[in-house]
Amino acid sequence: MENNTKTPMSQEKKHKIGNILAVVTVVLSILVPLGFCAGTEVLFWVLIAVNFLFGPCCFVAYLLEVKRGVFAYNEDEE
Amino acid sequence: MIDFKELWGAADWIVLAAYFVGVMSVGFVMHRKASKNFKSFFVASRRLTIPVLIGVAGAAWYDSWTIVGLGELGATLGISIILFYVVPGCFLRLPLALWIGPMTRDKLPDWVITLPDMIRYFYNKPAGVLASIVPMASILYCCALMFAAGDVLHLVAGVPIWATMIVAGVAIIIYTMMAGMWGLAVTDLIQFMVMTVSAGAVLLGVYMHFNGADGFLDAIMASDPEKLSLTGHQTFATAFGYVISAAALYVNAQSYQRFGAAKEGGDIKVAYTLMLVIGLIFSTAMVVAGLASSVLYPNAETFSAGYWATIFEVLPPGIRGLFVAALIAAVMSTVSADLLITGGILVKDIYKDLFKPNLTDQGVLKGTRVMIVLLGLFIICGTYLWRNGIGNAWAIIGGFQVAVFLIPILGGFFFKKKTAKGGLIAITAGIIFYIVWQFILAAPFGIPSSVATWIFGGIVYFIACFATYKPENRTVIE
Repeated sequence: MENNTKTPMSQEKKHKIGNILAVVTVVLSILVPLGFCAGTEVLFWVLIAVNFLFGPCCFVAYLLEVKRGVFAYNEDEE
Repeated sequence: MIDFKELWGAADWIVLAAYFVGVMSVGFVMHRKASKNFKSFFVASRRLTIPVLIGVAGAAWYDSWTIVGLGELGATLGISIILFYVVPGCFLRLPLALWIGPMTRDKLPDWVITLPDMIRYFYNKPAGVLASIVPMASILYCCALMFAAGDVLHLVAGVPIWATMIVAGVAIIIYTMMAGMWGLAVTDLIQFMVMTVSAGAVLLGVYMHFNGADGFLDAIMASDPEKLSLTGHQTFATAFGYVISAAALYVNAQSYQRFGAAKEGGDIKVAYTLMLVIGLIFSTAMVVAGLASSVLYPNAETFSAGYWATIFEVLPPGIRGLFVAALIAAVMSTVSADLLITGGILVKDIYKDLFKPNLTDQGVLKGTRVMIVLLGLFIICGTYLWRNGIGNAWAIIGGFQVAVFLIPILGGFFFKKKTAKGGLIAITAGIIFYIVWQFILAAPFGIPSSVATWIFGGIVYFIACFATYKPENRTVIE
């Protein structure tokens, strides 16, 4: 059943988040190689945690969207 | 060297079997949703949202090469490969995530579904037909990938290579043919999850094996200190080569198809930038795995043997199967995407547009399904029978795609004075120049054909566009 009680995120907000993530990418691109040079334990644990959690989190988010009817489809929309 | 077959057990088989059952069942579940029309089959009715887009972005941008190839570079060059390949790769992909992806979804008209459609929209129909070459070449790459998957399963579990190719090949054909992009989107998400969890498991395994990060870094330092230097074992030429190779993504039909499958441009921006973050972290994990193999098995007969011996040594039973599944997942996601794209383009952009203009939308859909089966069978047979020939053909054609189409695609998005004639002239001249430089002149002065064509094609593109530009015909994507 479709459940549209949650307001979808606006385009502007998505673009803002995308820009922030781009900055995060640049910062991480600097920190990861430097972290290796510094031989930090923290970097190892961050890499382990992110790799372990990220994929399953995406999958759960997908299942939640299926439950909310995000992919529900009718031909009139074509 | 360890005995793989002794370590490969029932738990690993169960994990691998569960993976295959999972991806196959997606095809059946999504079949109805993908059968409405060609758009539902090819770009999932343009309904994909952020979580699924992250999965499809991961599958398109981080393939089996990231798992094994990057590991090998980590083993031989050390952490410098992060600075010289992984980081530049992230930066070069940023424009795709921030601008080109959202523009593809939000600014191009709805009839633009395939990459040749896009070139046709930017320029004209003949240019679009010539662009049909781009995705077709990647079928050759699929053959090489399938063999690599078979080779690994043969090494670790003793399965004959032909058996892996048939089982994996048939599974790919079934779920791609039945569910198109809807199926691919979900299988890519599953495959992405398998890949990242396996990467986390390998990192944890390496950490435990060496008793912490310090132990790991000390072991590398004792073996070859240069591998811990940010510039260790790199030369400018190889570093430049890695950077240039990232440009291939700008002519990757998979990228544009997936941009077109998104619900909105904003979803692409969030999903793909987030994917760059995880891509950096995933790639780094693979470099660590390669580095570990260079310490644990420095005298292995081949890098592959040492790499997989390392994986088997640091991972427990069951998780080893998961890592092998991750590699097979990466191969399957690339092959299925290329089957879908090439099948769709052959039927829609070549058969329908050139030979049968009155073919209905359902006809295109059915034809694409038939073509997917035929191409899948070609990949299975071709991989086994003509592997070396196919490898050589890919080496030639792979560079050709980037060389000829990079400038026209970027110009199509951003160059305000582009013209239909300019685009067609540049593409045609680029194809002829590549053939002459590669086959007649045999790449003189040590300049690779791809680089020479890139420069030549770029010059021709801008001259031809300026020469044929008329302000009243100006087309700008805004």
